Amino acid sequence: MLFNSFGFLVFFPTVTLLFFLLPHKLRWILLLLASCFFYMFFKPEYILILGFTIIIDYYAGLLLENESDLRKKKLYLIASLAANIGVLGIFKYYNFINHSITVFTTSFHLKNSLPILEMALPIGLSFHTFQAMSYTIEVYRGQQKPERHFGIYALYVMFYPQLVAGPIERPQNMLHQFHERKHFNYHNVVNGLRSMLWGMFKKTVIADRLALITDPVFNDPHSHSATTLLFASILFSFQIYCDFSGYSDIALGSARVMGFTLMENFNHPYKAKTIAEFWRNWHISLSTWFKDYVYVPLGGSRVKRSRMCFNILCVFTLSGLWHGANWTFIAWGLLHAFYMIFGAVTMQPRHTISNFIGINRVKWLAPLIQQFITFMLVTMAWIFFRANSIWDAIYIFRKLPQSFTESKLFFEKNIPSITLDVPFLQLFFSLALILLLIFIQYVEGNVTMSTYLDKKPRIIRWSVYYVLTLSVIYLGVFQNKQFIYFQF
Amino acid sequence: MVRKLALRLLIFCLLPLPFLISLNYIVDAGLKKSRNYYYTEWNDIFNSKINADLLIIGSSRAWIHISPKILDSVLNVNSYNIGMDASHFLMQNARFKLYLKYNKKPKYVIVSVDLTSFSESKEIPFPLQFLPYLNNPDIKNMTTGFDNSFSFAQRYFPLYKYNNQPELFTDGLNAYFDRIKVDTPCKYKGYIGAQRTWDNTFDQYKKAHPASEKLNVSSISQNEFKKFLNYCKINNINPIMVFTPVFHESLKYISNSSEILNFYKNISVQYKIPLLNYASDSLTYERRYFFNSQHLNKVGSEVFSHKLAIDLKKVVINKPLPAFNF
Repeated sequence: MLFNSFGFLVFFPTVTLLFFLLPHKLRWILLLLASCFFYMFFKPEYILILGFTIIIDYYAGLLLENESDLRKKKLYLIASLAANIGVLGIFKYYNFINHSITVFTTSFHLKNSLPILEMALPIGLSFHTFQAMSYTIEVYRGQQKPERHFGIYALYVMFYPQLVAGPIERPQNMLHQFHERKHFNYHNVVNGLRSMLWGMFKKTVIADRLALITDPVFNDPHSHSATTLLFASILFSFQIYCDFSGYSDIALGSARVMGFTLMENFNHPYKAKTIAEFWRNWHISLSTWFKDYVYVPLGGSRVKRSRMCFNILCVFTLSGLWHGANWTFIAWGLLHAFYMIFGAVTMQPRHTISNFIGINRVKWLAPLIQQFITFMLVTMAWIFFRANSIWDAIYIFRKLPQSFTESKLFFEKNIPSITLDVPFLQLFFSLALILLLIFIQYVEGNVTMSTYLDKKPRIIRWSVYYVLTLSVIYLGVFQNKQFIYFQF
Repeated sequence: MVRKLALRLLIFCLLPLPFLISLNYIVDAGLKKSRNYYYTEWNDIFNSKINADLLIIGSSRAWIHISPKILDSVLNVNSYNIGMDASHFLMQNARFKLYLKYNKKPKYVIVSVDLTSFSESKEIPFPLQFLPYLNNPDIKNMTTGFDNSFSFAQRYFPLYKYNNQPELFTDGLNAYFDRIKVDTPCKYKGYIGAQRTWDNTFDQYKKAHPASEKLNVSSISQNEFKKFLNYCKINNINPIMVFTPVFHESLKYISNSSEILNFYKNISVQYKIPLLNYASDSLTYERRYFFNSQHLNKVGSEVFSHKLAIDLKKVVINKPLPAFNF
């Protein structure tokens, strides 16, 4: 079920109402059934895959607790991880690897006889397998007691607000919450609804509207000018942010209404001054997952520089692969790895140069330049993420420098450089929304909009609610468009 | 606390409703009296403003091919074109019945028949054209059962149907308060000439589909067509089937084109109604008169309308109505 669908408008209040009406001991059943229903809305048979990993990890957790032999413990952990990665491998990566083998063998005039599997990728597979893996790893490390209640464990993996696109939760944060008795809390409900409304606004009014502009460009980059490609790439940066953070806001909000606290997934990522800072604030639950379970075990940053570079490369290649079985995502991950390594290696000389030029003397200038450069680097990387193929991405990259010539032609001879087939009003409105978003992000500072609103009189609060609600209803784009991250 | 929340949510939801309902009424009413591109013909139908002697029905191949201005001047009648873009016979018939409900019955009805008249349609053509009339029971019947049928919220939640349609919304407001006269230029009694030149879509189609393709023909639609002819007969309405020109090469790419044309010929004989068939007229060889394989441009449609008017004058209008196959 999509958050931005009419079905969810019925599903959410029904489940929430029943949740508060039912006694505590029955609530897990309601939430589990609701989560199954929510997931089965997409493709019912894939619930079996979820069931399979849940059973494996549940028993792996119990075995890990009872086992004192370290070798056996490791074996259980590996078995559990292998089951999860195996599922991911079959459903997400098999066809990709198979296709890559075919391309490779064909170039040597050899034939690849591996069959192609005709199946769709289960929604949110990477999210729930990673969440399940974090459970067994934490139990193995002794930082989390295994969950004995099978239903609660299943709910930990399947809790509907974060089932299909995160946040990828940790057992320490979630499991105890399912055991706690939740009471109706007015403040939680209002804050949750507020967060959901803001998320819905970001998704339907901003992200899906921007998609109307960016989709035709990325689906046919060869028919567009370099300026249009650059423009669409910048718009895509805002689209993906509003799409994914919008989803997270709705997820966090819908959990909050029932009294559950999920981890924050975004913290003004486009205000980051470095790529490292960007990753600390973008898809936080995944970044910290990779940090805790890959980067740090590999040695992290407290190793030789060459080893640290290798660790970064590993993490970002895996992160790219996690996002999708396509060379575009791997290239996206590698580009970010390059940014990170380059940033780490050149930190000192860059600092010396900026001191020499004197940028640091103007207090506001240096951060602004840093934010702009970071944003543009991230935008360039998004081209790989969004392009339909690696060849399209390369084409866009090769074409982008022409935007300077096109701009020159525009200013000198008035030759239009934008080749968008979008009404002016639509374009104007989209840009206005982006400016509004930037404004809100800067106004927010360290205080969230929710906290900010809390202190305002009711008339202002309600006016904001009405503006957002009516915008979603009358200006939202409802084309049954999935959230971008659902595909992962 | 629960009661407080429920009360506030209720107030929050109910508070803007009177305003939204009123605004919805104003926009609907405004569009219903406007000359907006989408609603001119619907408004004329519902406001009983047409009352034509000669009515033209059909798809876009009626709508942009047959000029009532030319028919009126040559035949000295009052004609009106209620052709519906991208529609098939069932939808055209529904509109014809609505026409009869609000207007006096015509003496003649030109039925523009074509190769896709009896294709099954899963989509409502140009849903925007129905917006102010969504709650009309006839329009409701007409627009249900399609893949893109209007949702419950679109039908009943005030203004939701105008989601992302700021132009329609403002047109409705302006028309209601008589602030700006919204009129569609170039439209005359439903007809609009397409000021376009050959767009190469047919050339691209030929490349993509070198072999001919079979068009689906729904027997339900064909039966409805027969019922429509019987209805006309009973009510003293004289139908005239017209197969307007298509670019000559295009027929080759439809494997069952002669089968469909034969159906019309048989109907013509069986029901004793004229069929004016321009499928192989000299016009069909003149690419400059078309903008794609199925549609004449403005110049082409005016040349054709003249020809049609003269033929109608010769063979139908001035004579009693024998079975006539042109």
